[in-house]
Amino acid sequence: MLFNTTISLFKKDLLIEFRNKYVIGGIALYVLSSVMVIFFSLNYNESLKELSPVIWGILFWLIILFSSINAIANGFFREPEGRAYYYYYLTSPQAIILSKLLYNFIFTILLISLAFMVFSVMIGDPVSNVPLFFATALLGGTGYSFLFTLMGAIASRAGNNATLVAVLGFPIIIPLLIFITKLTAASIGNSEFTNEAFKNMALLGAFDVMQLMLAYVLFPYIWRD
Amino acid sequence: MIEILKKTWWKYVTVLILLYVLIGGLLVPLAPGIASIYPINFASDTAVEFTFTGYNTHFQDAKDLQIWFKNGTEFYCADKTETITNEKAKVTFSFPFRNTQKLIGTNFDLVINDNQDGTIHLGDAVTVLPHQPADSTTDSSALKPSCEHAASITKLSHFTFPYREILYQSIRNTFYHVPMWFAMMLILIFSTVYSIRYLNKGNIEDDIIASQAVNVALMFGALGLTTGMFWATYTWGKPWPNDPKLNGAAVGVIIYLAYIVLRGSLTDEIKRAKISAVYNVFAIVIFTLFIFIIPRLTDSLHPGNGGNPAFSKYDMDSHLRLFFYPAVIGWCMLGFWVLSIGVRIKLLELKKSSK
Amino acid sequence: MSKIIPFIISLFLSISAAAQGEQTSSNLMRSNLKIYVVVGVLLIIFAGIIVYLLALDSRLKKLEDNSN
Repeated sequence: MLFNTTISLFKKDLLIEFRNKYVIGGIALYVLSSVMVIFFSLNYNESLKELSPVIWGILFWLIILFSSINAIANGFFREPEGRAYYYYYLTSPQAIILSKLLYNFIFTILLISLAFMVFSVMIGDPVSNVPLFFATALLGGTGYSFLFTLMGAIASRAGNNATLVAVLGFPIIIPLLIFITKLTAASIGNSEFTNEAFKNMALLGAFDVMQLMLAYVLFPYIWRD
Repeated sequence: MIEILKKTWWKYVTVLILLYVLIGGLLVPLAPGIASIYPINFASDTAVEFTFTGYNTHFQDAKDLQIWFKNGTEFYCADKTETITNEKAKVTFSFPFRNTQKLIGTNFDLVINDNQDGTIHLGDAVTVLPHQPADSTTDSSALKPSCEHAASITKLSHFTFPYREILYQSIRNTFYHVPMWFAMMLILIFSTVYSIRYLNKGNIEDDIIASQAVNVALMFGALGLTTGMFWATYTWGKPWPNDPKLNGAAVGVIIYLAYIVLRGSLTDEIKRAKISAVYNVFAIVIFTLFIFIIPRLTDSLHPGNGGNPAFSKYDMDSHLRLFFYPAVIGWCMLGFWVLSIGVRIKLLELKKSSK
Repeated sequence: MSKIIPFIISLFLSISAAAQGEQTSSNLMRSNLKIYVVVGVLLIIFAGIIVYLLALDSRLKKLEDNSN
């Protein structure tokens, strides 16, 4: 029952997204233009060649941070308040938050792959341990999308204030960002899985699971008016 | 809970505890220690006369004054000692070339033992330089690599706080800076408990308590950060050394400032209570995970560094503990006192607006 | 509440500014085995609590003014 409603709500979100293609286009352009900004500011300061792997990782994840906060925060703002009441009678809040989490997760993963493609073409692709980078992207994308989904839900209740998502989300994303950039640096440095990489992945995964549980438990309180 | 907050007796207890902490913490003297030594380095194969000054020591009054230089586990006896005053003494020490060549470039600790001051020591007091090659003929076997020391180590009888290099008197800040952090954490947890209670029962009083608790916790957080920065400037050399505990506290303050912003942006009372309670629960979980994990990733300047957040035996001696635990309790109780005033004002406002 | 936070932040900024002007006061702070660091810390805590109480006081005053 929960699973089926989740899937149908997910499909509904997907449908809305495809109807307004300009939103996806806008996000894609956002990623593209921010990479361009970085490319040009690096290029004309003659530092594109000696860009250190750690800085590469940090720039990459900052771009993901800013574009995903835009994409996900808007996800809750797009639907009018009246329709929320309609869903309220129709389904359980758990189904709504699960569908949103799933949708935003897939969206963020697509965002990361797009950003990675643009990055590797324009700035370079120093990644030597592809499986580790892949795992980092998966876990990091999960963390980003879960956090901003919940913060977006909170902010949508506080009068659709897009700044609020950043204000609420950025302090909390700091621990995640530390692990993500550490793992990214590890995936660039050497091609082996070190013990520390496994430890950091486990901690990042723990953060993700914790966020999922909190979102699942707390969202009904936000949803009910 | 509000009934307990309104009671007066525990406020007197708070005052008594804080008076004990303030007066005791400021009046208990520091233990004897070695303040300085001159010269701080010497060439091997020479006899050097060192002059050192102590703090609170009784070199002249005491019996059985013993002075050693210590390197690793080996003790080196001084040739001749001469006390000038209670806090000044001279010691002559020769350093033969032949049998201790391997010690060049290493540091010696200075260890002093007498029956009044106990055993005091100055870590890395002097450094051995390479000797001048001209006169390496004098070979005195006077310097024995080890001498009798274990038998006479005495324990200090007065009640004092430990004398630590770099910290000196500012070790007393243990009772004034460190409890800020404890009070902040306790009041934040208290706030979360009331947020959860609000989510379950929907009683607006619980929300008032939770939000006022966050305010008080932020006050403690700001005080902890400012006092920490102030203390760090004169001990670690700069106000913001890159330290995980400091960074964790800063992140905590920012997370809860965001809570205040969130409350400010919501106008409807019920909605504000509900949404901010959700954020509060979310924030405490992430924040606790953060401050438990981050210090384990890097080294910390704080006591119990490099993994263990607790106070180790070395950092907290039993005399400090006698004031530290009451200090933590006292400052927390002061926090609850301030909290109770805020809560009562808010309740009055609520009563008026509902009239 | 809206008054407390700016107070706290301004206190924070003033202290960090004071810490930057370290050159002039460092001699005092390092004298007498750094006892003045303890004095400074106690003053900061005292000031912080006073500022918080003043903010509470002003809110109570507003409440009293409204009731008269």
